[in-house]
Order: sequence, then structure tokens, then C-alpha cells
Amino acid sequence: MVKKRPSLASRRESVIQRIPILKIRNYLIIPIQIDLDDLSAAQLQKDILQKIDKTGAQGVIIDVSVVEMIDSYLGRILGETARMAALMDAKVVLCGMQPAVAITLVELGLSLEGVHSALNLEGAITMMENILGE
Amino acid sequence: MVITNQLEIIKELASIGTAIIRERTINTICQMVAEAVVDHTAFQRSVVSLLEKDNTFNRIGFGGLTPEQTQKLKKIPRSTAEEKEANLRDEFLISQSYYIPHDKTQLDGLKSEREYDETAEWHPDDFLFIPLYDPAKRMIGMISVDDPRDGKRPTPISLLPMEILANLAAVAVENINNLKKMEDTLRKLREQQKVVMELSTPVIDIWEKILVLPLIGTVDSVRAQQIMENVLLKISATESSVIIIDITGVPVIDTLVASHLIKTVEAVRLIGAETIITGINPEIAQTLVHLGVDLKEINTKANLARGIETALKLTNRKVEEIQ
Amino acid sequence: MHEERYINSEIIPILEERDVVICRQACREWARRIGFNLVDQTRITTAASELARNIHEYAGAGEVIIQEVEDETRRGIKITFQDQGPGLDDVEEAMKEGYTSHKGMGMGLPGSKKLMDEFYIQSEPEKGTSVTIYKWLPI
Repeated sequence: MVKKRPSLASRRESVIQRIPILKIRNYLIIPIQIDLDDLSAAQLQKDILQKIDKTGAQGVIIDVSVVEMIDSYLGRILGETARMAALMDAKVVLCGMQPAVAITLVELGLSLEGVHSALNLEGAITMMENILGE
Repeated sequence: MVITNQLEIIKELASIGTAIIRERTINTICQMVAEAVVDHTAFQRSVVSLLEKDNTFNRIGFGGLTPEQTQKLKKIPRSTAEEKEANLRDEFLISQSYYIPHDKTQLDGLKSEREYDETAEWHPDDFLFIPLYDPAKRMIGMISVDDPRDGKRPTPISLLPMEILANLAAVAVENINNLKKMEDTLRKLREQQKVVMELSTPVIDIWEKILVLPLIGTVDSVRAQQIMENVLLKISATESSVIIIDITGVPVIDTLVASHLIKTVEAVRLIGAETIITGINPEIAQTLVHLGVDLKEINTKANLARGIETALKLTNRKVEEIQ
Repeated sequence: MHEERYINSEIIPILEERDVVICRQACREWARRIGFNLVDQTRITTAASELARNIHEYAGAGEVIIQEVEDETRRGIKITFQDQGPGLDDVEEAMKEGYTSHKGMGMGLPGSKKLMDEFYIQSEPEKGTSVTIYKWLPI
């Protein structure tokens, strides 16, 4: 049995999906709730950096607990964002990464050096407040 | 003329045989054989039975019977191997089959509904059994047939096609039984392997937020992968912040296992926890350095006790002596 | 090569960015249905994402064929990524880690190979590329 997906004509054009960025105290929280395509991931990087610039946030928490897969592109975007944010004096904490995603990432050869990780959002907030010395 | 016919039949049987041997379920095989008998031999009815574990003949394939007749036949109690064997006497043997005239048997069967033809040799209540044998010559089932179109008694020549079918069916059934046995063995082996795997990577919840994995014995690549998965899933399930991997009981480590260990440490860090490795013996220390494994990222402690101390410290706790 | 039988198949066209996501979601769905555990599902999904992206990036368009496959002893998933794009001049070079592409980290091909059990690539300049990957259910 061969099933064919509907062709391009019957589907909508690619649209960039925007992820909401929340600000709490002096840091940002970004819950990634969708399966990001490359364009949307690149857009997210831009949005985070701009939000840091605009708000003067000193930290960024990216919650990836519902992200089912991080491939080399998304991995690179996350790693880069952390380094770029560091240049702008903001620390990045990743939280809630699923075990299967972490295993796949390291097998792929990506270890996201320089990114702090926490088990869950609560842990990330504690870690962030420690880092920021509150 | 007769020989040409026989050849044609054998050719057809060969192609049916191929289909039968390819078939993967015993019921379908029996049904195919029963139908082939009706289609390609003189006999208009056939029943294929297999000997079950309880030593009774289970009727499985039916050829040339109406659904009602099949139902009626299924209701007749199964005959046991002993009953059958009592009737399969050498005096009835023709080729490898047994022809039992109606006046020489007490066996129950479905009475023929055909008018009894005085001139025919075959009596409607005669029995003809073609046994199926396994390679060790044990009977594993039989084909029983009835109602020859020509009304004749069987001869070695007329039995040939059926005996070919019987032998094919025996091989096919035997194949499936062997396959089942192999699969059973394989499944048991897998289950045992799984148990051994789990026993060999016991991730222990020793304190709130602290896990310990004491590794003992040789670690190969498969086990190393298993360890990584177990460790990560357990951390995630218990929301632990520290995992202590104690390798005191591991005699040697090679490059591949070392790299798995490093990957485990990295993956643990990615999900937000920390690894402490304890009990690195002199040989392993030498190996790791010689292999050029970068351990500066890894928190190592001399022994499990110090590892636990560090883990407590990392989770903002400490051990104190009571005065 | 092994003698293989296909139980089911699905074809997914890669024509635009979003198709990469559709493709990897379909691969995960298949992997789950075939019976892979969560870690293997993620490995398969990730490898599929890398290779579908390669089609989108280098060839512009192509297709992905997902198949449930079995041979004499095993059952698993086979995914084929094919395009009629520019192809690769040097397949061996492209399989090296760090092979630079303008977008990935040069991990697409070697990375997906590491995540799967089998990996085959065929490529000819001006003709296109075909990559086939397999993952078998653990015995």
C-alpha cells in the first residue's frame, strides 16, 4: 500500500512560526511548544537576541521539554544563541530536555558546550537566580 | 496415455507443492492439501488431520465437503493415535497408505451419502488413510479420503499423487513446527538477555536526587549503550541531579567504551544533571590518558564514599558525625 | 544486500521548508507504529530530518520513501531520500565529519549514519543523490 501525501498545491505556503518570549524579573522564558522548521528556528534566534537588547534581560531560559527532536541545525541554532547571548551579557539555561533527545544529540556529535542545562523549568529558574546572584 | 496423465498431474502437484511449502500457517497448509486432493486425484472428499499434543487427530483441512458436512464431521469426537494405529495394520498397507475395507473396521466416519453402487469396488464406508510422517518416521497426521470418481479401490499408482501431497504437507508442517520451536527458543533467549541486561545495569536510587550505578564486569559497546539509556531514563523519571557511576568493578576499558562513557556524561549534562565517576583503577587511568580521552569535563572521585560526599554537597547537603 | 519484503510504504514529497518537518513527523509516526522504543524513534526522526533537509538545501526538491521492511530474520524501517539535484562530486569527502555546507554543521550525512544501523549513498554529479537508511528492531 502506497499512500501519497497531498501535493504542494493543496497545502498552504510555508509560514514562519513565532515562539512567544516571556519576561520575568530580569530574564526571559521561551517555551518551545511546536516542531520548529529551520526558518522558524532562525527567526527564534533573531527574536531572542532582539528581546535581550530591548529589555536588558540578563538571562534566557529555553524550555525544550516538549521538543521531540533536536537535529544538527536546531542544535547549532541553540548553541549559537547561547554564545551570542553571552556576548550580550546574558546567560542561557536549557531545561527539560528529554533523555532520548539528549542521547541522539551526543550520538550525533553535538554536546552544546557552554549551555547550562536544568532538569525542568523549576530547576532552571533556581539555577538562573543563582547565576544572576539573587 | 496413462503415463502422460500421471506426468501432468505430477507437474501440477509440483507447483501446488511450491505454494504449500511457502505457506506460513498450518491451517492453510492443511486446507490447501485437502483441496488439492479433491482437485487432482480421483477422490472427491478429503480430510487432513494432524496429531495434536494430546495424541488425538485434529481435523483441520476439508476438501469436497459442504459446510454442513464439515460441521457434522467436526462434532465427531477426535480419534486417538492408539485407535487409529490399531486399524493401521500391515494387511491394509498399499504403498505407504492404508486401505481399510468397511467390513474390517470399527472406525466412525461421516457416512457416504452416495448411493451404494453394487458394481463398484469401493464401498462408501471403506477407509483410505495416507499418513504424514516426520523425518524420524513418526506419524504426525494423515489425509483420509473417500468417494473415488471411478469407484475403484486404490492401487500403488493411483495413490502416488496423494502420497506426494502427503509428503509435501508433512515437510511443510514440520518446517513450521521447527520455525515455531526456534522462535520460542529465541524469544526465551531474548527475555533472559533482557533480564541479564537489567541486572547488569542497576541504577540505584540511594538518596533523594542521587543515583548510583555500580558497574561490574566487562562493558562492551552494546552494554554501554544500554547503560546510557538506563541512566538517562532513570534520572528523568526520578528528577535526580547527580548520578555516580562507580567503575571499581570494571577491569578494563577500550576506546569505544570510553567514548560511550563520555557520551553518557554529556547526555546527562544536557538533561540537566551531573555525573561523578568513581573507582578508576590505575590501568583504566593509563588507558584513558593514552587514548587521549579528555576527562577534564568529568568529575572523578577516588571511591564511592567520596563520590557520595560530593553528590551530597552538590545537592546542598552534607554528612556529619554525631558527637 | 538482503532479500527484503515491504509491508507498507509512504511517499512524502520534499518541495519546501515545511516538508522537512512533515517528513520527520511521518518518520516518527512510522517508527512508533513499527515498534521502536522512544530513543530509536528519536534517532530515526533526527536522521530523517538531516537527510530531508539535505534534499531541500541542495536539490530544492525530491522525495522521501518510508517503508516498513522485513527480511528473513528482522523487521525494521527503511527510508530512502532521493533527488535529481546537482549531486555530489566526492561522496567520500561528503561523508567526512565537518564537510561544510552553508547551513548545517557538516553533520548531516555522517551524523545520520551514526544514528542508523545501515546507510547507503549513491550520487552522481548533475544526476542527483539517493540515500537509503535502515534501522532494525532489536533482536
